[in-house]
Amino acid sequence: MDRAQLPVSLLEAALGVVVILAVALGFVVGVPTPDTREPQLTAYANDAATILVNEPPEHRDATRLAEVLADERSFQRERGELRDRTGAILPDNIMFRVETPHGAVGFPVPGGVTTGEATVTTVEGALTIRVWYA
Amino acid sequence: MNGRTREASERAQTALPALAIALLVLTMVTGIGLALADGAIGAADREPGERRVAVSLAAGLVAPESPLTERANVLDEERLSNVDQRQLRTAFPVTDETAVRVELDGDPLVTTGTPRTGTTIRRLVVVEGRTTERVEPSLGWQRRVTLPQRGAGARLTLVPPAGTNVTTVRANDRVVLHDEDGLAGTYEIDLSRFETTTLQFSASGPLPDGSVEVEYDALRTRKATLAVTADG
Repeated sequence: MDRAQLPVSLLEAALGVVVILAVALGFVVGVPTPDTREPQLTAYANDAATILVNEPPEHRDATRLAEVLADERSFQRERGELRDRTGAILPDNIMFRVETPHGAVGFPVPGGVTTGEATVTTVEGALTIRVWYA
Repeated sequence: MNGRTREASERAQTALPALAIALLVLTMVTGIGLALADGAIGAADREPGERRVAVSLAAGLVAPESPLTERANVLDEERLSNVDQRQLRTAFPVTDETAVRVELDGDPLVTTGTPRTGTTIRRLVVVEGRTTERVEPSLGWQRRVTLPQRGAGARLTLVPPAGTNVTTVRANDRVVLHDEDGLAGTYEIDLSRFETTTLQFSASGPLPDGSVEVEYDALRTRKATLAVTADG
């Protein structure tokens, strides 16, 4: 045990280093990056929904959306146009899905991505737009 | 440290350099740890103030009551060309303290202060411009004319030939002008923005080309991106 002093002191120092590094590691790893993309995506979804819901119709009814969502048949007929129009409104780096009472157009929402979402009501029912970065 | 308390041991001295080394190592590691912590705190500074300004200013600019908009997310081209720093500061006093830049499709619209970096929020908008279009329809036997575009109103100039009384003008079967003694001159009529308008004229005699002239506001819309950058 005569030779115990030297290793003990260094062992303590090593333990101290481990403790301090553990605390420091908390600073390095533990600061989560805030997801600043979500407000922007929500803004995109809200804007697209507002623009869509206020568009004038092409044939009848009060707005273009009311015309598209009037019944199952008109939705099936116009779904391609609804998809193209939504894609034209949104920027190129944005993917979207539009859910209507008669079905959905756009891309399936992948799991684990940050999405922005907006819902607007029309006379024919609620319409939900989900957007995410491609 | 244990080494210091064991002064009775003849080997205690050997612990002294080890203690010094241990203290040195610990001090260095503490220093590195503090530097890491400082860096982490510095990197965590996200300037929530400027982000909040950018988000709320962008939301305010596209709101229906904004000085730029006609309706929600619909900017008026005429008001866009008139917007200046003073107007922005009056409508949004927050721009006094924060340097902001508002861009439409990459073209600077209005800037307060000198923003360099900052947080940018983009909004999707529709820019609506108005032009006045004129049509001089030649009325068929039904005396109808369908306006090619929807608009909120139209100006109607009636110059009926002598002997012809224009008594009634209907817009989509709704009577907008009526006078048994004959209509002549220029009239402003309100139209529905939500449906295509067909004007129908009732007259007691022939209505040759040129006796009816319609001026209407044609709306042209284009899609645009409004970018708001706030700095500071």
